[in-house]
Amino acid sequence: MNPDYSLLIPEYILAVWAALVVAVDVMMPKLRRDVPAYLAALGALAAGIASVLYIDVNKGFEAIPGVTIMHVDDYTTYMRVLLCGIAVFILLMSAQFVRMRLSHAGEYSAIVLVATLGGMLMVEGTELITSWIALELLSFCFYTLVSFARRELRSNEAGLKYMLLGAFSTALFLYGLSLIYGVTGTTTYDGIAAALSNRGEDLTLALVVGFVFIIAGLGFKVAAVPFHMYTPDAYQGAPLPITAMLSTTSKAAAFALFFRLFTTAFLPAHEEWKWMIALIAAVTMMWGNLVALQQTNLRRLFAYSSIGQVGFMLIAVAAATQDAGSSLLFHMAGYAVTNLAAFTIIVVFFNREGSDEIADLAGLAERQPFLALAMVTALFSLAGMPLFAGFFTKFMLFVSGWDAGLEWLSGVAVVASLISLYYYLMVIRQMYVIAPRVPGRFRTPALLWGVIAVLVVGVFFLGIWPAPLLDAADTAAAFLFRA
Amino acid sequence: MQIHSTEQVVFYLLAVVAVAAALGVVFAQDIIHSALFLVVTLILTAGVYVLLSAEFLSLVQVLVYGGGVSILVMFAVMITRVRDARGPLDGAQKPIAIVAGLAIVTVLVLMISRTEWQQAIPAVNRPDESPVRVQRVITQTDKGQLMSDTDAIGHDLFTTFAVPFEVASLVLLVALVGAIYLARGEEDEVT
Amino acid sequence: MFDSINEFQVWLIYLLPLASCLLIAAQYVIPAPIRPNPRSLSTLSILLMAGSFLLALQTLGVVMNAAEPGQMVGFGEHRWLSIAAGDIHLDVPIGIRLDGLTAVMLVVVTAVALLVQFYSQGYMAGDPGYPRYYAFLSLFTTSMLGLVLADNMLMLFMHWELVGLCSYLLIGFWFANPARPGYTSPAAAAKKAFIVTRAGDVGFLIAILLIWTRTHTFNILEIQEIAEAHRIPDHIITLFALGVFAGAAGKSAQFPLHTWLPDAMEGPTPVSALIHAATMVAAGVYLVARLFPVYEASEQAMDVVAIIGAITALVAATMGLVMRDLKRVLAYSTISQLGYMMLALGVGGLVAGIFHLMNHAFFKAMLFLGSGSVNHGTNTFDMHKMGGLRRYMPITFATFVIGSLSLAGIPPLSGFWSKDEILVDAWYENKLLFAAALTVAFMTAFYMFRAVFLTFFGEYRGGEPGGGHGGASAHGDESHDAHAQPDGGAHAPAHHAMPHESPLVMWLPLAILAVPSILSGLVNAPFFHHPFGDFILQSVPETLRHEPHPFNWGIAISSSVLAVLGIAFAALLYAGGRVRVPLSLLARPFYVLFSHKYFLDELYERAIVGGILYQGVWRLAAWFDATVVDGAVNGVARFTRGASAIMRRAQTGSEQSYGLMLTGGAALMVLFLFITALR
Repeated sequence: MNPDYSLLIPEYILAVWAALVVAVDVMMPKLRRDVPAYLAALGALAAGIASVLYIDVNKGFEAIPGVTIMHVDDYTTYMRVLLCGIAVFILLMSAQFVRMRLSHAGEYSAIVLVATLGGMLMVEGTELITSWIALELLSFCFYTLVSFARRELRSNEAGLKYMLLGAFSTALFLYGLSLIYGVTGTTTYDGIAAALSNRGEDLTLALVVGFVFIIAGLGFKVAAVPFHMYTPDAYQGAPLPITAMLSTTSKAAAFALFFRLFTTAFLPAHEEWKWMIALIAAVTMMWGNLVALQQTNLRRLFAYSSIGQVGFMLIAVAAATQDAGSSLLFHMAGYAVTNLAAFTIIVVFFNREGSDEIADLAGLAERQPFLALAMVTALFSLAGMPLFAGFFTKFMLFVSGWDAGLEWLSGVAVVASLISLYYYLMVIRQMYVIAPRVPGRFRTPALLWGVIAVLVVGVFFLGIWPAPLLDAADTAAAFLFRA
Repeated sequence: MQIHSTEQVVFYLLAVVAVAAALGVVFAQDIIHSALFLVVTLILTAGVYVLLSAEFLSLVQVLVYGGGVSILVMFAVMITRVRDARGPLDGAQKPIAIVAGLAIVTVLVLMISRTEWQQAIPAVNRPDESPVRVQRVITQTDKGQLMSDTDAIGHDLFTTFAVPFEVASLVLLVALVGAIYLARGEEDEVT
Repeated sequence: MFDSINEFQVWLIYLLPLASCLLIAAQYVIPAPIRPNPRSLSTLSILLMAGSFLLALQTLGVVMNAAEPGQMVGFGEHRWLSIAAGDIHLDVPIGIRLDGLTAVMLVVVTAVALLVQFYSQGYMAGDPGYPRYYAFLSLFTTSMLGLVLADNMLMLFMHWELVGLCSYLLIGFWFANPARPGYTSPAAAAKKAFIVTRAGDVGFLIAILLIWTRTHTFNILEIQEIAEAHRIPDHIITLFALGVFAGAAGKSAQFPLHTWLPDAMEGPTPVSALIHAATMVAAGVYLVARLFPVYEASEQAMDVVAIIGAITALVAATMGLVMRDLKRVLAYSTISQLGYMMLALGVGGLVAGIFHLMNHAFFKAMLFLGSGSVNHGTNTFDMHKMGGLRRYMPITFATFVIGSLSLAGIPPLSGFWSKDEILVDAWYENKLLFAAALTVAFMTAFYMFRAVFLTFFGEYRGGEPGGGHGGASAHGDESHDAHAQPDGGAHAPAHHAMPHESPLVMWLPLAILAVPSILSGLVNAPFFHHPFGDFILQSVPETLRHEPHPFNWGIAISSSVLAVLGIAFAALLYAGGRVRVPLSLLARPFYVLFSHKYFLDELYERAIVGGILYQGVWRLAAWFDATVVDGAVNGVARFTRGASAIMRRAQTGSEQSYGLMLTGGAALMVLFLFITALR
């Protein structure tokens, strides 16, 4: 019996569309350089719509009978839609940027689509090798994208650093997988879970080392301390929209994989890895938020801020309960919307000013009040103020952590988010209090204005009426714990 | 240490030279020497695969690593002229790195020796009580036929892992596109 | 009309200011040339606020008309979000808790907000941010009302954070202004206020997390019941109560988190009146009162509340003694009075605390508005530059004196009754706390009348060269168009003319507030059998409804005498309009001998105030504040920055070091696990 290939329609759309975008770009050299990005955005939208059709589908992709290498369920659907949505916004904010600063718009947009494809496969994978190769697909796309501004030394440097460390972490990850395989004799998540349950209380050292290496590999992908070192350099060097994508697509997909792997395959050994992840979470959130205080570059600030957020999200992985899952999915969406809003603003500013230093934001409130206000919205959301998306998403995370017996971790998280408020306020102060260095107002391009407006409305919507998304996230997370 | 079989002798020979060569990679002060040591390590690893009856893997190891990768490394060294910029290859971190490395080695040795490994694949022709086991890996097909490891890999690759296999082609494609884009000259850079 | 009220009407109290905020915000979408006149926007805002106030009055009437006045009117909960995940069932409801406490708070908040909005028409006239100001003010009122109405912790917390946010926005309203000499800039003050209160909120949030995981409810009533029945361990109740109190201490500027409130005076004065005197800072007191049954269930928590309250009241009062800045005197006075309220709650005096909260809201708002009016006339808050204003600003003077008398606790003004009740409650609970409270009463009378005499008596000392409205306003008209930033904005070189009474829009609210400042004390007067007390007590379970302590003539008389003494002392020293006595007097003993008055004066100013109080107590207090309290706060900040700087060094930029960190991290983890696994 053949597997049900129709489960992968969104992936086919993305792959074919990526090829199409490159082809169009090659065939029509006269095309304006922002067109491929818009075209690709349409593709991402199509894939997103196709993904929506899988709501309530709950079916494994059985490569051969009994071996489910991928699973399409509401968890998959939620993440697929989220990833496609992120891709749409990334491509929209890229269009003008690419036109102004990069060449090969076709390849750029196509690789963004393929990266999204990789992310989607990471979410679906229920078999180690499938998940790993999907992770590699995403990583290779990012290695290329980060160094895409090849005329800029910083971009080259960032790409190289990212790739070398990425290869290194992949090696660790793969070694971890091989150890798990060696102990359990299977690579499917279900099989591993069964094998681990049968082991009883007996702790195998290979298992523990395997967990550590897998956590190290995934920790690298999500940028958890101490595997985060590449993050600030990559964030600063990458073309701006790619920085946004690193902080959203890469994190969302890696966390989806992280959570699925640990709550389905490794759940029977929860006690062994719970403390590892909780410890990393605490260190990560404190480290990220503390070092962020010292930053003068907006992208590096966001790099450390995102590291801090990773710490918060790791709470959910450590907790590994159903409501941790729903709050993780919920937080991911809120974080993605907020971060996309912030980065779209930075892109507009960068397109106009060519600078991403915090000091150059001075007087933005006078020069472009809309951008400044939108930025304040995004920053307050990141800081977790009520009414903004960040409050509820963080609150749910902390509650789920607390419920899972990680009270101390939730306490550390509350303190860490207080610290984060300080550096967000520094940026706000720069925009509102300091006089502008360059006089004169400027306009936001209509399309990006619209994008920012939509995202800001999204931030408020999630902050005031989070119920629909939270319900969706809960339904999605329930699939991981249906056993 | 007792020697039980020829395989064992071969294994220890391979292992000692491979580890020595690996140390050479790290400690050699000339990058060309490092690269050559690397080739030695990789090819000897292929020998270990033969001992484990993974002939296909061994062949791939020789072809890809012993051939392709080594030559790539040599090219890279030549083209980038790292040799001209002479300087110490290891930095101030050396002592810490040695400690971290030793720690990991200790942990891995402990782990490997103390773990009960799962016998995922039925092994036949296993000599009893031999510390280094020579196995004939034979997998059964759906219909119960026996096949060799090459057949088994091929079979798995086109049934169980057909989708990951396709994804791997995408990975290669992206890597190719990225490499060409990044390595191409500047002639198209005029805007 | 007062028989019943439906839920929507109560919600309307909350929604009307929100609508006003949204409408004003919406006008920014309209292109600038065809935007409505700022005046019409403020009128709209005031009208909506008035509607809200009337509804609040109706609500109060309904609650009073209930079978048992003050009893809770239940509307049930509305589900806002509901998550069922595994064995966790998280319901986040929104709902109204309407009882005596709520109704009183509603009326206080809407009344003060209405008057402040009315007053601001004059005070903020011509400010370029006029519409923004009204939008923020309305948003603040909404948030404050939401905080009061909330029947569950989460809704309360959200509005709690929102009032903090509005406070931040409003303190920093003139964010572009530089710092006045010797003071912080508005932007820095706003940031400080936000961060310090948020530090307290860490405790609050942790308390909410704690109680939710233990009881699986956010509903305040249910939490109260659970705490009362001791269905969760006592130490959890105590931890919860202390966590909530940390939040309350931040908002209500309790020691040692009080440092933000004096700096918050850099905001516009009507904002200080509304937020930093009458409502937001009282939110902490309200919160403790709202959760009173929980505190009653934990003796330790009650003690902490009482002791922190007493320390705050004392420390802030000593600092109030020596401030030169009129608004700062009021700020320290506010902190001190908030400490008083906390003290009352801590000794079990729920009624006394809330009673004082209400009275204080009225007279302190009036005092702040009065100081704004003084500033309007003289363009300064420096009392050394005022003097003699009673002749120029008679209405301001009269109301300010009424407020000061009330605050000082002179019978039969409102402040006397509530202060007396607090003293009585303290007397029966703990004599030491009573002594502290009595000392504070004396100091309060002294510093308030020091301010009164310095400001309104003696000769006018010239004010501050003004923001250019001297000439125009000499005609007493309302159009201060050039008067952009009253609290020390850009100074035009033109010297200020004689001060003048403020326009009608500004003195009318003062006059209106004078009425409750005199009379609101009667609602709980002993000879009326404490109707207010019964009303408030309906909001707590029956077991906690103590009989009020009988009126104690001894305490009443001694506190009144002390207040009068304080006033007399202030009069003796400052009534002549002297700011300070010249040093040369000391060198002329004969002159001193012949003028005993001056000798006493000198003794006081130099020896007692200057030597002991100023140099000693105040210096000590100031030192303590600057070194220990600020030091602790700054120390945390410095530690944070230091740690941050060290951690940043790890980011060398070298690929090898990144790799090492990665490997080292993994190795450390493996080793750690090995050690735990091989154990």
